[in-house]
Amino acid sequence: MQARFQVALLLKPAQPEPLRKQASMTEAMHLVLVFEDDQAIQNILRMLFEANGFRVVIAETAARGEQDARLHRPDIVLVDLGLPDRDGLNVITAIRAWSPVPIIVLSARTAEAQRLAAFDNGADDYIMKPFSAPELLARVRAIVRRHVRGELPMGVLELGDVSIDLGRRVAHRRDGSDVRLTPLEHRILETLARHGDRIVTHAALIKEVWGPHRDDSRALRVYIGSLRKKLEIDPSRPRHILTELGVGYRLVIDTESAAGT
Amino acid sequence: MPVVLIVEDDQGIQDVLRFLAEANGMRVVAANTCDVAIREAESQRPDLAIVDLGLPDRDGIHVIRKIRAWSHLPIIVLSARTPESQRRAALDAGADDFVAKPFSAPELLARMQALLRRRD
Repeated sequence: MQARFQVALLLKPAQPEPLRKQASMTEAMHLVLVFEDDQAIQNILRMLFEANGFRVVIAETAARGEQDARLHRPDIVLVDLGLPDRDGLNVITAIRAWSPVPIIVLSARTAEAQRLAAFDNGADDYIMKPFSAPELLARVRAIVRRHVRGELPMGVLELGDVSIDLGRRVAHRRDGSDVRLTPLEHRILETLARHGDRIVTHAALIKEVWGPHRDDSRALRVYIGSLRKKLEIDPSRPRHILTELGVGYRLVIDTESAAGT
Repeated sequence: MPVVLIVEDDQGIQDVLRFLAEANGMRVVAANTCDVAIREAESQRPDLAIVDLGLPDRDGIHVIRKIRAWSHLPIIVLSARTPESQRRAALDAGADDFVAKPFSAPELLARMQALLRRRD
């Protein structure tokens, strides 16, 4: 109880303008899934992340959060260890079984053994409550930055006359006009880009984009079609997002962009 | 075998870090100034760097910025500077993690391994 009170005290002066000013395109559209049963901390985290350009989904229980993780495919996960239905350590293990998403533990458990157990189970960071909002935000930014740079072969994809900044999730044409891609379309591109010019099977692409418990190849075809309409000069004869008949898809990146970043 | 660059001017702490890393299967490259650290990072291409902020020639933030200009190498700051503004400054400059001195060796190792796991 005392820890919760301290969180509120620490965060009250920290919410305001200076934090809001730090919002940048880097976090645009990134989705944070928060496992937290304390309503006050939920509110603080929601306010903090939304004020800084993140989307937020909050789960009060482990069971609900695991469903949300599969459904929403978050870019980063925050896990409280003391959840009502199960220990947060189990949540980390369960998510790690199918996803490399960065996981930050946010917990009032201060014992070193707990912190080590969280890292052993696959957590990427451990922040103790009461926490500092600006530091949490800085750590989330660092982790998002690391995740993007660690998994993607380059920061900017050049596909014909369209440039896609995978880290910032923005795309524009050479003439400066915006190309609006949905979060799922970005995720499909990121997944294809991560595999270089190798074939990504339908099953692998669906698993990485939608999660392990979905098998909807029709939806995948629809999204691929939409991506081609937005990115290819002639969508009926794609040069970049190629179909490997009966197997999957392959991304062909303009060679000059490979030296990009 | 992962290579760890340890940027630390306190010989005692450098020894502890070396022992910790080597005992856990890592090769260590040590530097006790900013300039040496930047040179070693470029020539040795480590897999991970641990950087103290209070270095004799320049601030450790300078090392982070220099490395970040050309490398995605994971960087952990290990510093006695505990104010929140310092931690944020280090993370915003490109550090991946910030561990305050005095530190717990097992926790530092867990954080190092978490970053190396990502690299793998």
